[in-house]
Order: sequence, then structure tokens, then C-alpha cells
Amino acid sequence: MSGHFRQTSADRVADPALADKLYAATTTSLDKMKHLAAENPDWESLRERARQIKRHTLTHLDEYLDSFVKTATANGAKVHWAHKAEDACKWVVDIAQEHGVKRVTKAKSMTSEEIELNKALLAAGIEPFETDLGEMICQLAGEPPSHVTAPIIHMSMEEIARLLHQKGVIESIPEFLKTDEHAPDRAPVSNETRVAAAAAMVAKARAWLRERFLTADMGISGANFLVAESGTLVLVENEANIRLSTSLPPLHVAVVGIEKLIPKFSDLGTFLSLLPVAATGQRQSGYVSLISQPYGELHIILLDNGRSRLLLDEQHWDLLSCIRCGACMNVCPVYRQVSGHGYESVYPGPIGAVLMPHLRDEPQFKELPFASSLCHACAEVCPVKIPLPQRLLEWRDRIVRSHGRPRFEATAFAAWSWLMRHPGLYHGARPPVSIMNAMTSFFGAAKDWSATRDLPPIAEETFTAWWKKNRA
Amino acid sequence: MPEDQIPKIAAITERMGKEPYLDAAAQSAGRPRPDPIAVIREFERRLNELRGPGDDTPAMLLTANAEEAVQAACELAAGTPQGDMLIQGVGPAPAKRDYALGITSAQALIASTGTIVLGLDSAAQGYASLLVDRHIVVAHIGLLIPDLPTLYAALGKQAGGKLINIVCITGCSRTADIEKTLVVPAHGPREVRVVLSQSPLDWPALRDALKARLTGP
Repeated sequence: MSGHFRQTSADRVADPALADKLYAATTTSLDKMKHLAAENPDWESLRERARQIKRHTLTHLDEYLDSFVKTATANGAKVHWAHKAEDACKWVVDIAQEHGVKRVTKAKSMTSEEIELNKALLAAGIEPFETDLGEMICQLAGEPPSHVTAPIIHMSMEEIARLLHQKGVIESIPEFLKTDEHAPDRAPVSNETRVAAAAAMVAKARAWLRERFLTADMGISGANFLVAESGTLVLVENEANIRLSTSLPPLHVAVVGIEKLIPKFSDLGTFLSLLPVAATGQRQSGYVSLISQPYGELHIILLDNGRSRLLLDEQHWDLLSCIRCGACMNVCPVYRQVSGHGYESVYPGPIGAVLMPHLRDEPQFKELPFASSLCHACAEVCPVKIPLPQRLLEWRDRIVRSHGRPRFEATAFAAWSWLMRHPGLYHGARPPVSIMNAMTSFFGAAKDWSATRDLPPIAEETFTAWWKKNRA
Repeated sequence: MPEDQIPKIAAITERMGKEPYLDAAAQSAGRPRPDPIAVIREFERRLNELRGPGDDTPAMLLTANAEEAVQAACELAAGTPQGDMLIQGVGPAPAKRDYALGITSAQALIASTGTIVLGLDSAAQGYASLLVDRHIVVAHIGLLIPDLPTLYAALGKQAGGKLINIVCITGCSRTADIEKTLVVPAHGPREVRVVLSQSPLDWPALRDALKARLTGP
């Protein structure tokens, strides 16, 4: 282990304002989600059905891909295949160049982040504009999104105002949002004032993007679902920027992972009852676009990029069930301290920790399965019931087996295990408490722990002795 | 070519245990039919909840017939300049620009979420619900259905043929990207209003009546 995550996460934890911002934002979504799930008597059966439909689709993926390619083609779309991220980027750039495209408006898409499409477009002299407000701010800041559904969850209103001003989207920073450069915390103003400031910035961003929407040569999107029986792209959003990106330009290119397939149109009744609730705590998202017939010219690029390799994994193929709602991030005590940027991966949080080592070969991603407290909150919240803690543990097991573990650790656990099976010796071998307390600060694990907090002292009396005295 | 790749995926799924499909029909079967009045009230409550901050005029108006519905829609549209208004299906395809008001029909209305379902034959048909500041829907109460599974089950029955494009609109265009603060509008309409008629409506006739009233002869 190279300690990459240890460094990136330590950098994030060192920013005391970050955890407050993350806590406030994730709690807002989670509270709404809990409320809506609790009042829906079908919630558990919806989750169970969603899980089963995804498992069914994945174990029959060839059939549904075949069906989708046929129906979408019959509808008039052109369907392409991209084995790797670079292939997908090449498809998009080729299509753009063939049509003389200069400006592109982009719907929010994690798949586009995954393949780093903007980089490829810029290299080809094509100007991409992210149109989701959060993604637009990420693009202006030159940062990747830090959450799959809330890209700027890590930024305060003050930081956003400074950025929009610096980039010329707003002429001036509202007086009350001005803070000292050395103390960029929340400006001491009322909540109403903050709401008004947010509204004013959104209005400016809307006007700034409007002209780009109306003049773009091409729109790029992902998709939340692909319906096999009807060749339909399903796009879920709140802002209407996806509707604008997919219906205003004469050319629409959708880059979609092959795991987004669902068999039937009627399955949307299940998935769209779960996704908005889990993602943002809404009964339903503002706009759900169901595009079966191309409005103009429509290209659908089916992206593999490691997905078929994951499908081969007998233990982990169900990770492809993920619908990218971000609920596992919202509940994760690790995510809530370090944000998506701490993981340095396009998919962060518990799902990112198990998915990224499959999608990417770089050793830093093999550290992510260890970035979890295994508290099981993610498994309880996941709308498609992916057993995330189990998958995290399996990853740890695989990594430790392939890398081996430090000899000291292996010996210590072997000795411990042997002692535990010999209770007489175990109790007899217990050193005096004063020695144990003195020793803890010398050993690796305890030293790491006590670097930032105190290790509780070891009790004089053993638990066994306490039990015999009090409960036996 | 995608066709060349599918056999490779088939070689993988061949080795997997096959998981069965779980039909949705089992889930909603045997439910009592909801009371129509309760359905209208639920739709109204959801629509009102979906209004943006500071918007407190009623989001739903219940009228008796087409004539009353036209009257209600015209009152909502009062004061909008003629060139600043889109009525779905009136005139040639509208230009790509911003408009103050759009009036459309609907294919269905969903009570449990306050959703308006529109069918779109072309991109330009969507402008009246997209490139406008205010969106007014005029529809018959018979289009109300209880929930999303009912909608998608019904649409699924047509999926064998050529499905037209559909957009499901739930409330106004909004964003909470900045500190989870709700801001309306984001890139679409600021306001959505629904005029319901208790008797059936004929959209082409209604559209012409609206056009005559609002844009003159």
C-alpha cells in the first residue's frame, strides 16, 4: 500500500470547513429520503424488485443489448460500441468533426467524467459547455465533481461567488458574501439573504448559458436507463438543462454504459419510484425525458470500459446494478469527512471504493476498499440492495492475499488466534495492565490511532472477570 | 459494430447463473381503485408543494367544462404580449428563443407525484413547456392516474409499436446545487399551472379557442 488515500484524505480532513459543508448537504438529502421511504409502504418491495431486475438484466445482458441495438436502430438512432474510454471519446470527436461542430452543450453525465470527454473535445478544438449548474461551476473551477448527484457539495456559496466573479459570469460579488481572503468562511448574514444570493447567481448562470444552448451545434448526454424493448433513452434531471441539450441542437450524442439497460418500459415504474428519492429526497425529479425517436440525428455510444470484465467476476458482477444515486455517499462516515476529492476517483464513496479497482488498474484505487469503517449504512440505504460492506471485505481479502501482509502482523494474529483457542493460557498470559498500557504507544496500529486521538486505557479487570462477578 | 460485440458478452453471461425476471404486475395487483376525488386532491396538494419559493397562488384550477377551462387559462395568460406566447400545435414550428408563456395539453397526470406527462412528436413541440417562463397545462380530469407504476405499465403496453417521445414534468425547473438551497428557475420554466376540466376536452378545438381569445383573429 502506497498510502495515497491516506495523504489525500488527510489533506481533506485538515480543512475543518469541509466536513461541516458535507454534513449539512448530505443530511438534507438523507432526511428527505428517509421521510419519503418511511411513508411508502412499497419501499422495500420496490428495492427488492429493482435488485432482481438488475440481476436478471445483467445475467442476460447479451440478449438485452441485442434487443436494444435492434429497437434503437429501427427508431432511427445510430448505435456504436466503445470498448475503452478512448474509443468513446474518438467516436464523439469523429461525429462532431464530421458535422463541423464547434460548440457543444453537455448534460450532466458521470460517464462523460469517467471517459474524460471534455479533455478530448478541447484537444480537437471543440468547445464543451457543462450546463448543469454544479457541473458548470466545476468546469469553471477546473475541478472534477465531488459527488455523483451534487457536484459542488464541497463548495460554500462564498467560494462559488468568488469563482463566478473571477470567470466573468457575475459582474460583482454581492456585498454581504464578501469575506476576508484569510477567513473564507460563511459570511454572517441571514438565511433569507443567502437564499436571495443563491437565486441571483443562478439567474446570471442561466442567462450566461442560454445563448450557448441556443447556438450549440451538438448536445451530449449520458442516460440513466436504456429500455431494451423500445430503444428508449431515459434521462432524469431537475434543471431542464438536459432537455435543452438533447432537444435544441440538431445533433445529439449519448454515451451510455452497457449496465444501464433495463428490459421493459414498465420497469421504469420501479426504478423511477426509487432513484429520485434515493438521490435527492424528491418524490420525482423535475424532468424525466423518454427519448425513443431521435429529434434530429441521434448517436448512442455503448460504453464497455471495464464493465464486461467486471461481469466476468463471479463475486462482484452485481456492482453493475448501481444506478448512481449517490445515497451510499450521503450516509458514509468516510465520504462525509473527505468528499469525492479525497477518493480522487470519478465514483467516490462506498460504491466508488468497490467499483474503481475493477474499472482502473492504477494501484491507488486498490487502497479504496480499505477506506471504510464497514458500518453497513450504505447497504441499508442502497435502493438496488448492493451488499457493499461484503464487497468491500471481499476486496480487502483479495488485495491482502495478492500482496501478502507484513510479517509482524501475520505473526501477531497467528499468536493471538492460537492463544484464543487456549483460554487457560490466554488468561495466564495476560501481562500486567500497566505494561500493556505502556506498550500500546509503540506498536504500528496503536501509534497511528494515538497520533490524532487518545487510546482508551486498558481496564484493570478483564471482561471475563467482570462478567463472572456481575452477571454469572 | 455493436453486433460484433454482443457474442463476446454472450460468452460471459453463458457462464453465469441466470436470474429470473420479477414482474411488476404482481406488485400492484389487488389494490383497491382509489377514490377519484381523493386522486384530484392529492394531485393538487403535490402541485402546490412543488411551487417555487414565494409562489403562493393556486397551482391547480378545477373547472366544469371546456368553456370554463379556456376562460381560466386566458385569465392566467392575461397581459402576455401576443408574440411572447406559445400554444402547442398552433402555427409553424416556433423559433428557438425565450417566451413568456406556453400553453399545452397533457397525455396523463400523476396524482402521487404531481407529474404532467407530455407526448412530443418533435423537438419544437417541447418548446412550449421548456423555453417559457410560465407553463400552463389544460387537461381533462380523466387523464389523472394514481402513480408512476401505473403510467409506465400503460406506456409499456404501447412499447411494442413506435413510442413517441415523452417528457414527465414534475414542478418547475429548479436547482439545489449551491449549498442545497432551492432556487427556481434553473434553465426551464419558473411556474407550472394546471387547469383541469371535469368534462372531456377536444385539444384542437380548445387550442383554436385559446388562439382566438389570446392572439386575436
